[in-house]
Amino acid sequence: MKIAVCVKEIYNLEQVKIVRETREPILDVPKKLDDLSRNALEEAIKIREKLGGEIVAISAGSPELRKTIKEALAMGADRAAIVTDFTESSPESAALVLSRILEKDSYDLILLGDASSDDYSGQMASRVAETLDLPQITFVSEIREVSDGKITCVRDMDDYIEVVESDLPCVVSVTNEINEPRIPALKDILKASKKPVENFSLQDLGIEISRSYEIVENLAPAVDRKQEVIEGEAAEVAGKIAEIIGREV
Amino acid sequence: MKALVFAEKADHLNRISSKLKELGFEVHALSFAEVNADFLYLAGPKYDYASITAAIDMLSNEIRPDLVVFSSTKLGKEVSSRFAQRKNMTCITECLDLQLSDSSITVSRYSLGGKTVTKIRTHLPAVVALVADAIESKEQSFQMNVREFQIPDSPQIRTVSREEKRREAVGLKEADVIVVVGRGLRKEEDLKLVKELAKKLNAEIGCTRPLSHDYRWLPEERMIGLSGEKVSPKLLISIGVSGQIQHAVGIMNSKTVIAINTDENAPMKEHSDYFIVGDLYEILPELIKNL
Repeated sequence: MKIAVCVKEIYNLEQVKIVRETREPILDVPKKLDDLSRNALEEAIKIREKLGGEIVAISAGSPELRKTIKEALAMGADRAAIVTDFTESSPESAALVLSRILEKDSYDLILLGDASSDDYSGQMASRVAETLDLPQITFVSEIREVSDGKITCVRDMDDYIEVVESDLPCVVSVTNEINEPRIPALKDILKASKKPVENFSLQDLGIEISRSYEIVENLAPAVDRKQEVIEGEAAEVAGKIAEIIGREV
Repeated sequence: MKALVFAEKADHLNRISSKLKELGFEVHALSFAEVNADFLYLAGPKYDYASITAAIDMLSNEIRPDLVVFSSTKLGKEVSSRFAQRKNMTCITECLDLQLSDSSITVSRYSLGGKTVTKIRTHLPAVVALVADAIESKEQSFQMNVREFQIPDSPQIRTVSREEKRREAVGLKEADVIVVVGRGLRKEEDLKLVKELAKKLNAEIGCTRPLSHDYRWLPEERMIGLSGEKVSPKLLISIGVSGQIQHAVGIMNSKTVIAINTDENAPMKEHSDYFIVGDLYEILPELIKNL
Protein backbone atom coordinates (compact mmCIF):
# COMPACT_ATOMS: atom_id res chain seq x y z
CA MET A 1 0.00 0.00 0.00
CA LYS A 2 1.49 3.31 -1.06
CA ILE A 3 -0.03 6.22 0.83
CA ALA A 4 0.45 9.94 0.27
CA VAL A 5 -0.47 12.26 3.13
CA CYS A 6 -0.89 15.93 2.19
CA VAL A 7 0.13 17.97 5.21
CA LYS A 8 0.08 21.70 5.89
CA GLU A 9 2.29 23.99 7.91
CA ILE A 10 0.40 26.73 9.73
CA TYR A 11 1.29 29.50 12.15
CA ASN A 12 1.42 28.36 15.74
CA LEU A 13 -1.93 30.00 16.42
CA GLU A 14 -1.55 29.97 20.19
CA GLN A 15 1.39 32.33 19.79
CA VAL A 16 -0.33 34.77 17.43
CA LYS A 17 -0.93 37.98 19.36
CA ILE A 18 -3.17 40.88 18.39
CA VAL A 19 -2.04 44.52 18.46
CA ARG A 20 -4.55 46.09 20.83
CA GLU A 21 -4.81 49.48 19.11
CA THR A 22 -5.00 48.36 15.48
CA ARG A 23 -6.48 44.85 16.05
CA GLU A 24 -3.92 43.49 13.57
CA PRO A 25 -2.42 40.03 14.10
CA ILE A 26 1.33 39.70 14.67
CA LEU A 27 2.40 36.84 12.43
CA ASP A 28 6.04 36.78 13.43
CA VAL A 29 5.64 33.39 15.11
CA PRO A 30 7.04 29.93 14.33
CA LYS A 31 5.14 27.52 12.12
CA LYS A 32 4.09 24.00 12.96
CA LEU A 33 2.42 21.00 11.40
CA ASP A 34 -1.36 21.44 11.53
CA ASP A 35 -3.27 19.23 13.97
CA LEU A 36 -5.51 17.81 11.25
CA SER A 37 -2.48 16.86 9.19
CA ARG A 38 -1.39 14.82 12.21
CA ASN A 39 -4.75 13.06 12.26
CA ALA A 40 -4.30 12.13 8.59
CA LEU A 41 -0.74 10.91 9.22
CA GLU A 42 -1.85 8.82 12.17
CA GLU A 43 -4.45 7.04 10.01
CA ALA A 44 -1.79 6.39 7.37
CA ILE A 45 0.54 4.89 9.99
CA LYS A 46 -2.22 2.61 11.28
CA ILE A 47 -2.88 1.34 7.75
CA ARG A 48 0.84 0.74 7.18
CA GLU A 49 1.07 -1.16 10.46
CA LYS A 50 -1.62 -3.53 9.17
CA LEU A 51 -0.86 -3.78 5.48
CA GLY A 52 2.74 -2.62 5.15
CA GLY A 53 3.88 -0.19 2.49
CA GLU A 54 5.16 3.33 2.30
CA ILE A 55 3.98 6.74 3.52
CA VAL A 56 5.04 9.88 1.67
CA ALA A 57 4.36 13.27 3.26
CA ILE A 58 3.54 15.90 0.66
CA SER A 59 3.38 19.61 1.29
CA ALA A 60 3.72 23.09 -0.18
CA GLY A 61 4.78 26.05 1.90
CA SER A 62 7.44 28.55 2.91
CA PRO A 63 11.20 27.84 3.24
CA GLU A 64 10.43 27.06 6.90
CA LEU A 65 8.65 23.92 5.68
CA ARG A 66 12.05 22.21 5.41
CA LYS A 67 12.01 22.23 9.20
CA THR A 68 8.27 21.71 9.75
CA ILE A 69 8.16 18.63 7.50
CA LYS A 70 10.47 16.87 9.98
CA GLU A 71 7.50 16.70 12.34
CA ALA A 72 5.74 14.50 9.78
CA LEU A 73 8.86 12.36 9.30
CA ALA A 74 9.26 12.01 13.05
CA MET A 75 5.66 10.88 13.41
CA GLY A 76 6.24 8.11 10.88
CA ALA A 77 6.26 9.22 7.24
CA ASP A 78 8.99 7.32 5.35
CA ARG A 79 9.94 10.23 3.14
CA ALA A 80 8.69 13.60 1.98
CA ALA A 81 8.19 15.52 -1.27
CA ILE A 82 7.78 19.25 -0.77
CA VAL A 83 7.75 22.67 -2.42
CA THR A 84 9.24 25.44 -0.30
CA ASP A 85 8.79 28.54 -2.44
CA PHE A 86 5.02 28.53 -2.18
CA THR A 87 3.98 31.51 -0.12
CA GLU A 88 0.81 32.55 -1.95
CA SER A 89 -1.63 30.15 -0.44
CA SER A 90 -4.95 30.20 -2.25
CA PRO A 91 -6.78 26.84 -2.18
CA GLU A 92 -6.73 26.54 -5.97
CA SER A 93 -2.99 27.10 -6.26
CA ALA A 94 -2.23 24.83 -3.31
CA ALA A 95 -4.32 22.08 -4.91
CA LEU A 96 -2.45 22.50 -8.16
CA VAL A 97 0.97 22.28 -6.47
CA LEU A 98 0.02 19.24 -4.38
CA SER A 99 -1.48 17.51 -7.42
CA ARG A 100 1.66 18.06 -9.49
CA ILE A 101 3.77 16.47 -6.75
CA LEU A 102 1.29 13.61 -6.40
CA GLU A 103 1.39 12.95 -10.14
CA LYS A 104 5.10 12.18 -9.93
CA ASP A 105 4.29 8.86 -8.29
CA SER A 106 1.34 6.50 -8.15
CA TYR A 107 -0.51 6.17 -4.86
CA ASP A 108 -3.21 3.80 -3.66
CA LEU A 109 -4.53 6.28 -1.15
CA ILE A 110 -4.22 10.03 -0.62
CA LEU A 111 -5.05 11.20 2.88
CA LEU A 112 -5.51 14.71 4.28
CA GLY A 113 -7.24 16.62 7.05
CA ASP A 114 -10.79 17.73 6.28
CA ALA A 115 -9.67 21.35 6.75
CA SER A 116 -6.77 23.17 8.36
CA SER A 117 -7.04 24.72 11.80
CA ASP A 118 -6.15 28.22 10.55
CA ASP A 119 -8.49 28.86 7.60
CA TYR A 120 -10.97 26.06 8.01
CA SER A 121 -11.68 26.30 4.30
CA GLY A 122 -12.03 22.56 3.70
CA GLN A 123 -11.42 22.55 -0.05
CA MET A 124 -8.22 20.59 -0.52
CA ALA A 125 -9.59 17.02 -0.72
CA SER A 126 -12.18 17.96 -3.35
CA ARG A 127 -9.77 20.07 -5.36
CA VAL A 128 -6.96 17.50 -5.37
CA ALA A 129 -9.42 14.69 -6.21
CA GLU A 130 -10.91 16.72 -9.06
CA THR A 131 -7.48 17.62 -10.46
CA LEU A 132 -6.33 14.00 -10.38
CA ASP A 133 -9.74 12.74 -11.54
CA LEU A 134 -10.12 10.51 -8.47
CA PRO A 135 -13.08 9.72 -6.20
CA GLN A 136 -13.16 11.40 -2.79
CA ILE A 137 -14.47 10.50 0.65
CA THR A 138 -14.54 13.57 2.87
CA PHE A 139 -15.20 14.16 6.60
CA VAL A 140 -14.22 10.61 7.54
CA SER A 141 -14.52 9.81 11.25
CA GLU A 142 -13.52 6.15 10.88
CA ILE A 143 -11.70 4.14 8.24
CA ARG A 144 -13.39 0.79 8.61
CA GLU A 145 -11.50 -1.29 6.14
CA VAL A 146 -8.77 -0.95 3.59
CA SER A 147 -8.08 -3.96 1.43
CA ASP A 148 -6.72 -4.62 -1.99
CA GLY A 149 -8.32 -2.07 -4.18
CA LYS A 150 -11.12 -0.97 -1.84
CA ILE A 151 -11.74 1.33 1.14
CA THR A 152 -14.74 1.58 3.45
CA CYS A 153 -15.24 4.70 5.59
CA VAL A 154 -17.70 6.26 8.00
CA ARG A 155 -18.48 9.90 7.20
CA ASP A 156 -19.61 12.33 9.87
CA MET A 157 -21.84 14.83 8.05
CA ASP A 158 -23.93 17.70 9.45
CA ASP A 159 -27.16 15.76 9.91
CA TYR A 160 -26.31 12.19 9.06
CA ILE A 161 -23.72 9.46 9.42
CA GLU A 162 -22.89 7.65 6.25
CA VAL A 163 -20.96 4.47 5.44
CA VAL A 164 -19.44 4.59 1.98
CA GLU A 165 -16.99 2.54 -0.03
CA SER A 166 -14.78 3.40 -2.93
CA ASP A 167 -12.32 1.74 -5.21
CA LEU A 168 -8.70 2.72 -4.77
CA PRO A 169 -6.99 4.98 -5.59
CA CYS A 170 -9.08 7.47 -3.69
CA VAL A 171 -8.72 10.77 -1.80
CA VAL A 172 -9.83 10.62 1.84
CA SER A 173 -10.12 13.55 4.26
CA VAL A 174 -10.36 12.86 7.98
CA THR A 175 -11.92 14.70 10.91
CA ASN A 176 -10.15 15.89 14.02
CA GLU A 177 -11.92 13.20 16.08
CA ILE A 178 -10.82 10.17 14.04
CA ASN A 179 -7.83 9.41 16.27
CA GLU A 180 -5.34 10.68 18.83
CA PRO A 181 -2.14 11.34 16.85
CA ARG A 182 0.99 9.78 18.36
CA ILE A 183 3.70 11.97 19.83
CA PRO A 184 7.10 11.07 18.39
CA ALA A 185 9.75 9.82 20.82
CA LEU A 186 13.20 11.39 20.87
CA LYS A 187 14.67 8.54 18.79
CA ASP A 188 11.99 9.13 16.12
CA ILE A 189 12.86 12.81 16.03
CA LEU A 190 16.55 11.96 15.60
CA LYS A 191 15.75 9.44 12.86
CA ALA A 192 13.61 12.00 11.02
CA SER A 193 16.56 14.08 9.89
CA LYS A 194 17.99 11.06 8.06
CA LYS A 195 14.84 10.40 6.05
CA PRO A 196 14.84 11.54 2.39
CA VAL A 197 13.16 14.82 1.48
CA GLU A 198 12.67 15.75 -2.17
CA ASN A 199 12.48 19.51 -2.52
CA PHE A 200 10.89 20.91 -5.69
CA SER A 201 10.50 24.51 -6.77
CA LEU A 202 7.37 25.86 -8.44
CA GLN A 203 9.46 26.19 -11.57
CA ASP A 204 10.39 22.47 -11.45
CA LEU A 205 6.68 21.70 -11.42
CA GLY A 206 5.95 24.20 -14.19
CA ILE A 207 3.54 26.20 -12.09
CA GLU A 208 3.04 29.93 -12.13
CA ILE A 209 0.94 31.23 -9.28
CA SER A 210 -1.54 33.98 -9.90
CA ARG A 211 -3.80 35.25 -7.21
CA SER A 212 -7.50 35.35 -7.91
CA TYR A 213 -8.59 37.37 -4.91
CA GLU A 214 -7.47 40.18 -2.70
CA ILE A 215 -7.38 40.42 1.09
CA VAL A 216 -8.98 43.77 1.88
CA GLU A 217 -8.65 43.53 5.64
CA ASN A 218 -7.59 41.04 8.31
CA LEU A 219 -8.43 42.23 11.82
CA ALA A 220 -9.40 40.74 15.15
CA PRO A 221 -13.06 41.34 15.99
CA ALA A 222 -13.49 44.13 18.54
CA VAL A 223 -14.00 42.55 21.95
CA ASP A 224 -14.91 45.03 24.61
CA ARG A 225 -15.56 43.21 27.86
CA LYS A 226 -15.32 44.74 31.33
CA GLN A 227 -12.95 42.02 32.54
CA GLU A 228 -13.75 42.70 36.20
CA VAL A 229 -11.95 40.09 38.31
CA ILE A 230 -13.75 38.68 41.34
CA GLU A 231 -11.92 36.57 43.94
CA GLY A 232 -12.66 35.35 47.44
CA GLU A 233 -14.40 32.70 49.51
CA ALA A 234 -16.84 30.52 47.58
CA ALA A 235 -19.91 31.68 49.55
CA GLU A 236 -19.03 35.35 49.16
CA VAL A 237 -18.24 35.00 45.44
CA ALA A 238 -21.46 33.06 44.88
CA GLY A 239 -23.39 35.92 46.47
CA LYS A 240 -21.79 38.40 44.11
CA ILE A 241 -22.56 36.24 41.07
CA ALA A 242 -26.19 35.91 42.17
CA GLU A 243 -26.35 39.69 42.42
CA ILE A 244 -25.00 40.15 38.88
CA ILE A 245 -27.41 37.53 37.55
CA GLY A 246 -30.26 39.37 39.28
CA ARG A 247 -29.28 42.58 37.51
CA GLU A 248 -28.87 41.02 34.07
CA VAL A 249 -31.89 38.74 33.80
CA MET B 1 -26.49 39.49 -12.93
CA LYS B 2 -27.38 35.85 -12.40
CA ALA B 3 -26.72 33.62 -9.42
CA LEU B 4 -27.01 29.84 -9.33
CA VAL B 5 -27.54 28.48 -5.84
CA PHE B 6 -27.71 25.01 -4.32
CA ALA B 7 -28.40 23.97 -0.74
CA GLU B 8 -29.67 20.63 0.49
CA LYS B 9 -31.73 22.36 3.18
CA ALA B 10 -34.75 24.44 2.19
CA ASP B 11 -34.35 27.00 5.00
CA HIS B 12 -30.73 27.62 4.02
CA LEU B 13 -31.76 28.05 0.41
CA ASN B 14 -34.49 30.55 1.25
CA ARG B 15 -32.14 32.70 3.31
CA ILE B 16 -29.47 32.68 0.62
CA SER B 17 -32.00 33.35 -2.17
CA SER B 18 -33.34 36.39 -0.33
CA LYS B 19 -29.84 37.75 0.18
CA LEU B 20 -28.96 37.29 -3.50
CA LYS B 21 -32.22 38.89 -4.59
CA GLU B 22 -31.58 41.82 -2.25
CA LEU B 23 -28.22 42.32 -3.98
CA GLY B 24 -29.98 42.41 -7.34
CA PHE B 25 -29.25 38.93 -8.69
CA GLU B 26 -31.66 36.91 -10.78
CA VAL B 27 -31.82 33.79 -8.58
CA HIS B 28 -31.63 30.31 -10.11
CA ALA B 29 -31.93 27.57 -7.47
CA LEU B 30 -31.37 23.83 -7.60
CA SER B 31 -33.44 22.42 -4.76
CA PHE B 32 -34.96 19.26 -3.31
CA ALA B 33 -37.97 21.24 -2.06
CA GLU B 34 -40.16 24.18 -3.09
CA VAL B 35 -38.15 27.27 -2.20
CA ASN B 36 -38.06 30.91 -3.21
CA ALA B 37 -36.32 31.57 -6.52
CA ASP B 38 -36.82 33.29 -9.82
CA PHE B 39 -36.04 30.02 -11.58
CA LEU B 40 -36.42 26.90 -9.49
CA TYR B 41 -34.96 23.60 -10.70
CA LEU B 42 -36.82 21.10 -8.57
CA ALA B 43 -35.06 17.76 -8.20
CA GLY B 44 -35.34 14.56 -6.19
CA PRO B 45 -32.88 14.51 -3.27
CA LYS B 46 -29.34 13.25 -3.86
CA TYR B 47 -26.47 13.47 -1.44
CA ASP B 48 -23.42 12.30 -3.35
CA TYR B 49 -20.94 14.95 -4.37
CA ALA B 50 -20.34 13.62 -7.87
CA SER B 51 -23.97 13.72 -9.00
CA ILE B 52 -24.59 17.16 -7.46
CA THR B 53 -21.37 18.55 -8.94
CA ALA B 54 -22.43 17.22 -12.36
CA ALA B 55 -25.87 18.83 -11.96
CA ILE B 56 -24.40 22.21 -10.98
CA ASP B 57 -22.00 21.94 -13.90
CA MET B 58 -24.88 21.26 -16.33
CA LEU B 59 -27.00 24.11 -14.98
CA SER B 60 -24.09 26.52 -14.93
CA ASN B 61 -23.31 25.76 -18.58
CA GLU B 62 -26.93 26.52 -19.41
CA ILE B 63 -27.47 29.58 -17.19
CA ARG B 64 -23.97 31.13 -17.29
CA PRO B 65 -24.21 32.53 -13.76
CA ASP B 66 -21.97 35.33 -12.48
CA LEU B 67 -21.96 33.80 -9.04
CA VAL B 68 -22.44 30.20 -7.90
CA VAL B 69 -23.51 29.94 -4.28
CA PHE B 70 -23.69 27.04 -1.82
CA SER B 71 -24.63 26.71 1.81
CA SER B 72 -21.42 26.15 3.78
CA THR B 73 -22.47 22.76 5.13
CA LYS B 74 -20.09 19.81 4.83
CA LEU B 75 -21.83 18.70 1.62
CA GLY B 76 -21.87 22.30 0.38
CA LYS B 77 -18.16 22.69 1.00
CA GLU B 78 -17.19 19.48 -0.76
CA VAL B 79 -19.36 20.19 -3.79
CA SER B 80 -18.47 23.88 -4.09
CA SER B 81 -14.74 23.21 -4.10
CA ARG B 82 -14.99 20.24 -6.46
CA PHE B 83 -17.06 22.34 -8.86
CA ALA B 84 -14.72 25.35 -8.54
CA GLN B 85 -11.71 23.20 -9.35
CA ARG B 86 -13.47 21.78 -12.40
CA LYS B 87 -14.11 25.33 -13.63
CA ASN B 88 -10.72 26.62 -12.51
CA MET B 89 -12.43 29.18 -10.28
CA THR B 90 -11.91 30.75 -6.90
CA CYS B 91 -14.06 29.38 -4.11
CA ILE B 92 -14.42 30.98 -0.73
CA THR B 93 -16.14 28.88 1.94
CA GLU B 94 -17.48 29.69 5.41
CA CYS B 95 -18.51 33.22 4.37
CA LEU B 96 -20.35 35.20 7.04
CA ASP B 97 -21.67 37.87 4.68
CA LEU B 98 -21.74 38.85 1.04
CA GLN B 99 -21.50 42.26 -0.64
CA LEU B 100 -21.59 43.13 -4.30
CA SER B 101 -20.00 46.11 -6.01
CA ASP B 102 -19.69 46.41 -9.78
CA SER B 103 -18.24 43.13 -10.97
CA SER B 104 -16.69 42.00 -7.72
CA ILE B 105 -17.92 40.57 -4.45
CA THR B 106 -16.57 41.03 -0.94
CA VAL B 107 -17.04 38.39 1.76
CA SER B 108 -15.93 38.05 5.38
CA ARG B 109 -14.75 34.87 7.02
CA TYR B 110 -12.81 33.88 10.10
CA SER B 111 -9.15 33.11 9.71
CA LEU B 112 -6.17 32.26 11.96
CA GLY B 113 -8.44 29.82 13.77
CA GLY B 114 -10.97 32.54 14.58
CA LYS B 115 -8.49 35.13 15.84
CA THR B 116 -9.27 37.46 12.96
CA VAL B 117 -11.99 38.18 10.43
CA THR B 118 -10.69 38.49 6.89
CA LYS B 119 -12.45 40.54 4.24
CA ILE B 120 -11.80 39.09 0.79
CA ARG B 121 -12.62 40.66 -2.55
CA THR B 122 -12.78 38.66 -5.76
CA HIS B 123 -13.93 39.27 -9.30
CA LEU B 124 -16.95 37.58 -10.76
CA PRO B 125 -17.51 34.89 -11.83
CA ALA B 126 -16.81 33.19 -8.52
CA VAL B 127 -17.99 30.42 -6.21
CA VAL B 128 -18.86 31.03 -2.56
CA ALA B 129 -20.26 28.93 0.28
CA LEU B 130 -22.23 30.97 2.80
CA VAL B 131 -22.90 30.15 6.46
CA ALA B 132 -26.68 30.34 6.10
CA ASP B 133 -27.32 31.10 9.78
CA ALA B 134 -25.07 34.15 9.63
CA ILE B 135 -26.73 35.67 6.57
CA GLU B 136 -29.21 38.42 7.31
CA SER B 137 -31.80 39.20 4.67
CA LYS B 138 -35.28 40.57 4.29
CA GLU B 139 -38.14 38.83 2.52
CA GLN B 140 -38.11 39.35 -1.24
CA SER B 141 -40.49 38.61 -4.07
CA PHE B 142 -39.47 36.17 -6.76
CA GLN B 143 -40.63 35.22 -10.25
CA MET B 144 -41.11 31.58 -9.22
CA ASN B 145 -40.67 29.82 -12.55
CA VAL B 146 -40.58 26.14 -11.63
CA ARG B 147 -39.03 23.39 -13.71
CA GLU B 148 -38.55 19.72 -12.89
CA PHE B 149 -34.90 18.77 -13.03
CA GLN B 150 -33.26 15.37 -13.10
CA ILE B 151 -29.92 15.25 -11.28
CA PRO B 152 -27.75 12.86 -13.31
CA ASP B 153 -27.14 9.70 -11.30
CA SER B 154 -23.36 9.55 -11.48
CA PRO B 155 -21.90 8.69 -8.07
CA GLN B 156 -18.19 7.91 -7.86
CA ILE B 157 -18.43 6.14 -4.51
CA ARG B 158 -20.98 3.66 -3.16
CA THR B 159 -23.22 4.49 -0.22
CA VAL B 160 -23.56 1.45 2.06
CA SER B 161 -25.84 3.11 4.61
CA ARG B 162 -27.01 6.52 5.73
CA GLU B 163 -28.49 7.24 9.12
CA GLU B 164 -29.95 10.54 10.28
CA LYS B 165 -28.30 11.83 13.44
CA ARG B 166 -30.64 11.86 16.38
CA ARG B 167 -31.10 15.52 17.13
CA GLU B 168 -32.18 16.96 20.39
CA ALA B 169 -34.17 20.16 19.90
CA VAL B 170 -31.85 22.73 21.39
CA GLY B 171 -32.85 26.35 21.69
CA LEU B 172 -29.36 27.84 22.06
CA LYS B 173 -29.96 30.51 19.43
CA GLU B 174 -33.11 31.87 21.06
CA ALA B 175 -32.01 31.44 24.70
CA ASP B 176 -31.83 34.48 26.99
CA VAL B 177 -29.53 32.70 29.41
CA ILE B 178 -26.92 30.09 28.53
CA VAL B 179 -24.68 28.09 30.85
CA VAL B 180 -21.57 26.89 29.01
CA VAL B 181 -19.42 24.13 30.40
CA GLY B 182 -15.85 23.27 29.43
CA ARG B 183 -13.04 20.92 30.29
CA GLY B 184 -12.84 22.24 33.84
CA LEU B 185 -15.56 19.70 34.56
CA ARG B 186 -13.79 16.56 35.79
CA LYS B 187 -16.31 13.86 35.01
CA GLU B 188 -19.58 13.26 33.24
CA GLU B 189 -21.56 12.76 36.47
CA ASP B 190 -20.66 16.30 37.49
CA LEU B 191 -22.88 17.59 34.68
CA LYS B 192 -25.73 17.34 37.17
CA LEU B 193 -24.30 20.35 38.97
CA VAL B 194 -24.41 22.34 35.72
CA LYS B 195 -27.90 21.07 34.92
CA GLU B 196 -29.12 22.13 38.33
CA LEU B 197 -27.78 25.65 37.80
CA ALA B 198 -29.29 25.81 34.31
CA LYS B 199 -32.64 24.72 35.65
CA LYS B 200 -32.63 27.44 38.33
CA LEU B 201 -31.87 30.06 35.68
CA ASN B 202 -34.18 28.60 33.04
CA ALA B 203 -31.06 28.45 30.89
CA GLU B 204 -29.94 26.32 27.95
CA ILE B 205 -26.72 24.33 28.33
CA GLY B 206 -23.90 24.76 25.83
CA CYS B 207 -20.41 23.31 25.80
CA THR B 208 -16.96 23.45 24.23
CA ARG B 209 -15.88 21.03 21.52
CA PRO B 210 -14.04 18.43 23.65
CA LEU B 211 -17.17 17.78 25.74
CA SER B 212 -19.39 17.09 22.74
CA HIS B 213 -16.96 15.67 20.20
CA ASP B 214 -14.25 13.92 22.24
CA TYR B 215 -15.93 12.88 25.51
CA ARG B 216 -19.46 12.77 24.06
CA TRP B 217 -20.93 13.96 27.37
CA LEU B 218 -23.29 16.34 25.57
CA PRO B 219 -24.80 16.19 22.07
CA GLU B 220 -22.99 17.93 19.20
CA GLU B 221 -25.79 20.47 18.76
CA ARG B 222 -24.83 21.99 22.11
CA MET B 223 -21.31 22.85 20.99
CA ILE B 224 -20.62 26.58 20.82
CA GLY B 225 -17.78 27.92 18.69
CA LEU B 226 -16.31 28.39 15.26
CA SER B 227 -17.47 24.97 14.05
CA GLY B 228 -20.65 24.97 16.14
CA GLU B 229 -23.35 27.38 17.27
CA LYS B 230 -22.86 31.13 17.53
CA VAL B 231 -25.06 32.47 20.32
CA SER B 232 -26.28 35.86 21.51
CA PRO B 233 -27.96 35.55 24.93
CA LYS B 234 -28.50 38.36 27.43
CA LEU B 235 -26.41 36.45 29.91
CA LEU B 236 -23.86 33.72 29.40
CA ILE B 237 -22.27 31.92 32.34
CA SER B 238 -19.11 30.11 31.34
CA ILE B 239 -17.92 27.37 33.67
CA GLY B 240 -14.48 25.78 33.49
CA VAL B 241 -13.90 27.06 29.95
CA SER B 242 -10.32 28.04 29.09
CA GLY B 243 -11.49 30.41 26.34
CA GLN B 244 -9.64 29.17 23.25
CA ILE B 245 -10.48 31.47 20.36
CA GLN B 246 -12.25 28.68 18.43
CA HIS B 247 -14.81 28.65 21.23
CA ALA B 248 -14.78 32.37 22.03
CA VAL B 249 -15.97 33.40 18.56
CA GLY B 250 -19.22 31.60 19.33
CA ILE B 251 -20.02 33.73 22.38
CA MET B 252 -18.91 37.16 21.14
CA ASN B 253 -22.43 38.46 20.63
CA SER B 254 -23.52 37.71 24.21
CA LYS B 255 -24.57 40.81 26.13
CA THR B 256 -22.99 39.94 29.49
CA VAL B 257 -20.50 37.16 30.13
CA ILE B 258 -19.67 35.76 33.57
CA ALA B 259 -16.85 33.19 33.68
CA ILE B 260 -15.69 30.92 36.48
CA ASN B 261 -12.18 29.55 36.11
CA THR B 262 -9.44 28.33 38.44
CA ASP B 263 -6.73 29.82 36.22
CA GLU B 264 -6.50 33.58 36.63
CA ASN B 265 -4.55 33.79 33.35
CA ALA B 266 -7.04 31.81 31.25
CA PRO B 267 -7.74 33.45 27.85
CA MET B 268 -11.41 33.38 28.90
CA LYS B 269 -10.71 36.47 30.99
CA GLU B 270 -10.63 38.83 28.04
CA HIS B 271 -13.96 37.47 26.84
CA SER B 272 -15.63 38.04 30.22
CA ASP B 273 -17.34 41.00 31.85
CA TYR B 274 -17.01 39.29 35.24
CA PHE B 275 -14.16 36.84 35.65
CA ILE B 276 -14.41 34.77 38.79
CA VAL B 277 -11.17 33.12 39.89
CA GLY B 278 -12.19 30.02 41.78
CA ASP B 279 -13.12 26.36 41.83
CA LEU B 280 -16.42 25.55 40.14
CA TYR B 281 -16.89 22.65 42.57
CA GLU B 282 -16.92 25.08 45.50
CA ILE B 283 -18.74 27.97 43.87
CA LEU B 284 -21.57 26.23 41.98
CA PRO B 285 -23.20 24.58 45.03
CA GLU B 286 -23.13 27.93 46.85
CA LEU B 287 -24.48 29.75 43.81
CA ILE B 288 -27.33 27.28 43.38
CA LYS B 289 -28.25 27.86 47.04
CA ASN B 290 -28.27 31.62 46.40
CA LEU B 291 -30.65 31.57 43.46
